[in-house]
Formats: sequence, structure tokens, C-alpha cells
Amino acid sequence: MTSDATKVKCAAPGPPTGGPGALRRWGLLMAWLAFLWVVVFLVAPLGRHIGPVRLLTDFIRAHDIDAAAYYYTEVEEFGIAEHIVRDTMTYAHDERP
Amino acid sequence: MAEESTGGGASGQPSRWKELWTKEDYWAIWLGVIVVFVGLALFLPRPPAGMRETIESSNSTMAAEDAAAPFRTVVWFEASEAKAKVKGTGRDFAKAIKTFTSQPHGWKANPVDALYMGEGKAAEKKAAGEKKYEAAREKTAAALSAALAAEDRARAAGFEDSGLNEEAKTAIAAWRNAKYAESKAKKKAKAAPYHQWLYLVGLCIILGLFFGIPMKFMGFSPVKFFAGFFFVFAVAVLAYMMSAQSTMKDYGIGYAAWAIFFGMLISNTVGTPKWVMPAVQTEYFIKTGLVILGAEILFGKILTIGIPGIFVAWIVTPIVLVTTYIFGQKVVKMSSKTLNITISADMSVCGVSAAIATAAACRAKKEELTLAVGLSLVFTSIMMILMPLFINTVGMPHVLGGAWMGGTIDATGAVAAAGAFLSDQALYVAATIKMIQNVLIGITAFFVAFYWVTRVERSEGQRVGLMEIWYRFPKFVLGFIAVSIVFSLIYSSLGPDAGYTLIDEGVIKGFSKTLRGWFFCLAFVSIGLATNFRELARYFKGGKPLILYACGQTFNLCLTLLMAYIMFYLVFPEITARI
Repeated sequence: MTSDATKVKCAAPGPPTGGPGALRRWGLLMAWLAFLWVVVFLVAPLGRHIGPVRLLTDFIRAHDIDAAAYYYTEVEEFGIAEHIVRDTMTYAHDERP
Repeated sequence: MAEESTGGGASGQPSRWKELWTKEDYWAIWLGVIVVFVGLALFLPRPPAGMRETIESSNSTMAAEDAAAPFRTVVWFEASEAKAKVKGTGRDFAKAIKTFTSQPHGWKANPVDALYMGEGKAAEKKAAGEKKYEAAREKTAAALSAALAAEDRARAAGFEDSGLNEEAKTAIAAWRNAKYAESKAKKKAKAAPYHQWLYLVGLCIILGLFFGIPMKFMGFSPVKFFAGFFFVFAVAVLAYMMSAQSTMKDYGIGYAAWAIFFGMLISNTVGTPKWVMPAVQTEYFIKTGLVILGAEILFGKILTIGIPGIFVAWIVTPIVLVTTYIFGQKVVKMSSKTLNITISADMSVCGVSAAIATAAACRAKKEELTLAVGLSLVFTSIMMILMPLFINTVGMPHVLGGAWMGGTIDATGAVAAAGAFLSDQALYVAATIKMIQNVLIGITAFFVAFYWVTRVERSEGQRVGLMEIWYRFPKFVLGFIAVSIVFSLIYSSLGPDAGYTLIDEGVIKGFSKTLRGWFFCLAFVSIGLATNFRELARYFKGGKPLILYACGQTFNLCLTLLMAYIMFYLVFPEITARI
């Protein structure tokens, strides 16, 4: 950590702050933020007009599923599924038709 | 993770006692252990009222229903649900912790809604939610009547008429779906005003101190760390806000992608301010988060769905992981072994969380982790939409489709969305397979770290002795595994039902999971703030990472489908019939 942290402290990437190019750099940041706004609020919602995408996204929205979760403990549906499957394996043995 | 790598602490020098309080690897263990044990101290001694009684009564009801009917009846599901509703997070202190540590709220067009909602707007939202909830309740009541009627008809025939039995099962499934929609509508009807920004300021100060104080022992200025931490935390809040935006949430674009994006946007335009750099501590945040993640790796869960689950998740996944890695080295000729293994684990195990653990275990470069996360994100979004569509189009059985999606879609949330979209049956199988696969992260990280120390990092002809392995082994991985073993033992000793109530729905969901999320988010912000875009582009040269991912995922799709079919339809059809 010691050596790594030292490296981190010297590792400020990208252009230095201040100086004559500062205006251009801030302009670039603003342009990127404007682009982001266009993508999030204008382009991305267009995808919802594609049939299969709309079906799924409407479902996700209606059921408030966290489709962006990274681990099973973050998703409520996993708790429901685990309970049902575990109980099924333990308390649903009958194999009559 | 510093300038060069996501790992560290492998100095090759003999370990000294002093390192226990001067090395980042050990501090990650101490901090992670503090979090999980505070969680244990809060939740274990305070079980919800009537926990044991509810569990026993529910289990005996289900056993009785099992003896009486050849399918899961309405009463059976109600008993299972009654047990699941007993949660450690239901206590008042747990609700207070959740409010304080919560991430920004969901929003659609006005980002302020993520941090603040006044009484007027909350009342408006609540009224709209209540209307929908009332409609959902009516639907559930109607579906319940239909399910009970169908069940009675089957019962009247002594459960000997397979046609009536099937009708009852279909009606019960429809009632379950209606109930699921109702429970979601109920949450929206509970809209209340909030001042999340205030709690976030408090959380920032507490986390700043939590990570800042050990900096002194590691030889750095806690004051400088603390000052920079405010900036890193603010970008993390921004990342969480974007992941909570409704359209982005629909597409499954999570905080990791936004944290890297905003970090890189700042560092590659106006530049990361110098005063912020002492708090840009990727490895420190990632390792602490991973030790906490150990509490969520509960080995007792791997038998949830029996042998088929083990085969689909624990046999296919390592085969795909190793094959993809070898393919990357021999055929694609990946120049970086660390990038190769990070992408292989990311694709075969479970996306971002596996990428984080593997990258840290093999000391991959931050750009390599960024690339793996980006690939996973793109493929997850595509697969989440296309796989349910394909399964429905070809008429694939939902148990098979669920197992297929659970074993192949990277991101866990996307598995839940795609599974639930198909049917409750698909969701149950997909989620269970994915959960079992999630547990593999610990073993993957351990073996990757071991393989790297003993094979990849050794000089040609060098023999690596036991002591050398110990010196070079990333110690936080041991903390990660130790926490996982301790929690698995506690979980087993409590039994699956009480374990679920006190560990899953107590320590983890009520405390450690949210903090772990914040730590990973801070790590991804740090990666972005220290990454040069041109440097990142260099790693993508020739499109080799994309080729590796696409080929590995194709193999994964074929092998998982084949194994799921063999296990669920040829070897264990009785399990499929039960689900």
C-alpha cells in the first residue's frame, strides 16, 4: 500500500487544472455533460419504442426490479425465489399426477 | 490499486508484525471485520418477535399440505410467505440504519427528487400509488378466489384428475403473479417525504473518518484524505443518482459504470484536483468492500435447488472460466494475463462483483477492470432483452430457460428482471442458479490469487515455497474467505429459515450490503479519477477483449443450456416437476 499510495498521489491523470487551456477544458466538460443529457433524456427513452425493449422495461418499471444490481443480496426477487425453491425442495415431495 | 494495479501488498519481503497496522491489506481486513461484526452484534441478539414460532408453524403447515396435495396449494404458499415476512430488517433500529445509509432515491426528470422530497410531492406520489395499490389488491383478491375454487375442484376429485390438478396449478400461479405485482404496488403507496442529502452529508463524514483514521497508521495524512474524500464521495453520490434515474434503471446501467464515467470525465477534461488525490484510494476501498462481501458468500446456499443447481452453476462455470482463459492465451493471444482472467471471470461467474474480486486477487490494472466492467454491462443489457424473447419464441420450457439465463446473464439484477418477465417458475430457477453461482466468487478469488502467486508471478524455473506463497499472497483475500467461512458457519448453525431472517434479512440487508455498495462505488470513482482515456483505449486495441468475451459467452451459452437440459430434464426430471 505504501508504495502504491505514493504512486496514486503522483498519478493525477489528465490535464493540469488552471492555465491558459482551462477554459477549453471546462468547455469540454460542459459539452460532455450536455451530450450525457441528450443520451439520458432523449436517446435512451427512444429505445423504449422498440417492441421487445418496451415490454421488458415496462415490466421492470411496474415491478420496480433493480435490474442494475450486482449481487444476489441486492435484489428482493432473489429472497422470494430462494424461499420458494428451498421450501419446495423440502416440503413438496409428492409426485402424484 | 494504485497507478498500476487493482491489487497490491505483494512486496515479496518477509511479513512483519508491524504490517498488521501499517499495510493496506490488513487494514482492509480490520475495517471489513468491524463492519460485519457490528452488523452481527446489532442483529443476532435481536430476532424479530415470534420468529421461531412462525417458522415452526409455517413448516408444519407446508409439511401437512405436502402430504395432502400433489402440488403446492394456496395454503402452502401462504405459509412459505408468512415465514419469509419475518425479517430482521423489520425492527425500528434497522429502519433507522437503512434511512441513514441509503443511497439516493429513484427519479425520472428532476434529479433533486433523488435527494429531497417535500411533503406535497410525497403526498401526491402516495395518492397515485394508493390508487394503483387498490387496483392491484382487487386483482389479487379475484385471482385468489379463482385459485381457491380451482383447488377445491381438484380436491373434490381426490387430486386424481390430472386435468383439474393442472388447472389448479395454473390458477395458483396466476394468483402468485398478482400477489407479486400487489406487493410492489404496496411499496409505491408508502411514499414519504425525505431529506436524503442531509443523511448523505452525515454518512460522508462518518465514512471519511472510518477510512481516514487508518491512513495515519499507514503513514499518510488523514486530514488530506478527509478533504479529498468529500469530492470522491460527491462523485459517488452522482453515480448512484444516475443509476437511480428511471430510464437508466430500466436498462440495468448501474453505479459502477456511472462512477467510472464521471471519474474519467473529470480526470480527462478539467483534471482531477491535486487535493483530491490523497482520497483516490481504489485498492483500499475495493479490498474493504470485498472483505464485507465475504459475509454474503454463504456456502449453505449451494444446495438450495439440489444437484442440478450444483452442476449448472458449479461445474459449468469453472469449465467456462478455465477454457475461456486458455482460449484467451492460446488463440486470441491476449497480451495481458490479468485482463484475460478478469474478463473470463466477469463473463463466466457473475459480472461486476466477480470482476472486482478477480481483478483484486490477480492485481489487474485499473484499466483492465474498467474494460471488463464495460463489456459486462453491454452484454448484460443485450442478453437481458434477447434471452427471454428467444425463450418465448422457441417455446422453451421456463425451468430450462430460467436455468439458462441464471447461468449465463452476468448481472444479478438483470437475471431477476429477465426471469420474472418470463414467469415465476423461470424467476425461481434463474435466481437460484445465479445465487449459487454468486457464491463461487470467493473460491474463484482464492484460486486466482493462489495461481498468480505460485505460477504467473514466479520467475522461470523458480520454485515457490510455502513461506514465499504466504509473503506474496494478497492478505485481504484471506480476510474475505475467513469472513465467508464464519458467516457460513453461523448461517448453518441457525438453520436456513432463521439464517435467512437474521443473516440475509438482518446483518446483510440491514447493514453490511449498503456499506459494501458505497465502498465499491468509491472504488470505481477512484478508478475513473485516476484513469487516462488514451491509456484505456490502448487496452482495447485490436478488439481482443471483445473477441474473448464474445467467444467465451457463446461457449457459456451452449454448455449451460446443454447441462441445464441434461440435469433438469434427463437426470432429475422430478425436481423440474416440483418447481
